[in-house]
Amino acid sequence: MTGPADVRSAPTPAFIQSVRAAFPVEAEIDRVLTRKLELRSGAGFTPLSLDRIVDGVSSLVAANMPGPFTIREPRWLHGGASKLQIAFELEWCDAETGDLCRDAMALRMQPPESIVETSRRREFEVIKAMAGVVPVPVCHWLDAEGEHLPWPAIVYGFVPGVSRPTRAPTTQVSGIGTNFGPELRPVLAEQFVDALARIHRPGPAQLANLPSFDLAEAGSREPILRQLNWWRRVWEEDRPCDMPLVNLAYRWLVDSAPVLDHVSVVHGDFRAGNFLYDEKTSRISAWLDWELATLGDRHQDLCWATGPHFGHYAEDGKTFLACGLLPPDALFESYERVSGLPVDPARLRYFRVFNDFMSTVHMAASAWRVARLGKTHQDVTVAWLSMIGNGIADQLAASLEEFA
Amino acid sequence: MVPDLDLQLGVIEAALRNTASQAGAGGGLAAEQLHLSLATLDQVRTLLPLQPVVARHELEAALEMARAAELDEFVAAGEALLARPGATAGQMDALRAGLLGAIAALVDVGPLRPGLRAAILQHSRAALDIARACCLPAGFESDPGERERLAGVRAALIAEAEIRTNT
Repeated sequence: MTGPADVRSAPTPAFIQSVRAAFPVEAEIDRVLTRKLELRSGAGFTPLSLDRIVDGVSSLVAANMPGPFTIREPRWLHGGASKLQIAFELEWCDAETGDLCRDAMALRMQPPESIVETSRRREFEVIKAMAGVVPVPVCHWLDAEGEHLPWPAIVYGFVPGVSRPTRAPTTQVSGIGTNFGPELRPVLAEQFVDALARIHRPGPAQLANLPSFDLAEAGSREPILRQLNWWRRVWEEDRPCDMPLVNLAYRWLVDSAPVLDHVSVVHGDFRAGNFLYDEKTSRISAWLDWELATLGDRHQDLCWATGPHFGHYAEDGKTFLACGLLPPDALFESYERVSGLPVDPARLRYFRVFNDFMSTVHMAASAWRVARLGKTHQDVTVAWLSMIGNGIADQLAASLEEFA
Repeated sequence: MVPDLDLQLGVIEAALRNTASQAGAGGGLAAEQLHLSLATLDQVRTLLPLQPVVARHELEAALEMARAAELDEFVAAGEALLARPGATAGQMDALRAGLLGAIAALVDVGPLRPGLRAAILQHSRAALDIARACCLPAGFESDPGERERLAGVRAALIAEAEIRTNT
């Protein structure tokens, strides 16, 4: 739908300035999105050898840790559609005790562009802040600007576990309709709701350790308005062609934006596929993929987790299971009990539209753009996932019809 | 000889399935990408013959929005293009892109004309139905009732494409 003169494939300084001015966002988000556009007309993704990545990791570790170390057993990690990941063992000598230590670690690095262009700095901060609140990997080092590695990256502790049953078919894209089976469902569901409740009630210690996040205050509409601007800006930056439905949704969302009643850390992608669990103990070992985290309204995560594209129908063919775990109403009831926070049906309706708006931007705009420009290590997966966008956009239209 | 696109897609698919998959390049990522490459090729083979029919229906949906927006020049151009026997999918897509841009700009700037909001929602859904029907084999439709309905839309598109090919 776009010709060779498409400004979005080779953005001019004037274009970049125009989207920045039209849709003001948080400072760190502005930095990341502006960087994306400035680099867009450059190279796409080129395959990297493990040796090249290990060299970058070595440089990052050396800049942060005194003393000798060795990186052993580097290997690719499979999973997710947006970031490059490797696992490795770090051998190092404890300067005080002289002991030889060995830690399992993982590198999470963004490709030139992703379906969601996000900040490694924010991801690093929020994972660190959530330590002790829910199971998360131990964060070690950040390469926020890609000084050591080809692109921005974080190194954190490797957490063993699986994101879906190992008996699941390999054709299943992680987190999309994962079927955990009737026995595992209630065990994971309880931990799922408990984690959500904990994340949504951050203490002062957590909030004080998020310097790359603009503050949110109860009683304000600002947190949701700046998120709306974030995704509307991305729509302007990435879309292959116009969809009046998106413009209509943006207007409705701005006009209907609710006042924030309680400041939560919002995970932003809280769903099956983004937690690991131990198949022997059935315990969740880590919550991952915090790149979309914001400070805002808990209903955003509640709606996201109960979205139709992340769930499936139970064996009876009638009962929809949110994230393949439990029916949405049961999830809300359990969440209220565990968190002590109310679930407001009006806010759920609002965030249903918001999440569908955001996902439509991801799938109908960014997925198309990054695959078209060859910006990721798995463009075929990105292009495949973009097909989910049709159903999500239809839900968006249906919701707007319903809430007219 | 002009290459037979269906034949070429078929041989790529066979090469990937029968040979590349045996190469042992290994790893979950390679296996997933091979699977998705094969599935994408299969989808392209199915959708290529439907392209003119899909482009026509998508333009018709956009024209309905344009009528509600009173974009008379676009409406006239669209109707003329649809009436032209040799109109290509590329021409219809290009006109539709301009038309959707004009409607989106109207939505952004001010009060909406009566009926425009409803028309955008109704006809966006009509166009999305076509896209969902085309993508149905990808397996992203979880509602059994919707799957059945969209299968009907898909069958109708295929039948229409066959009729247009034979006339």
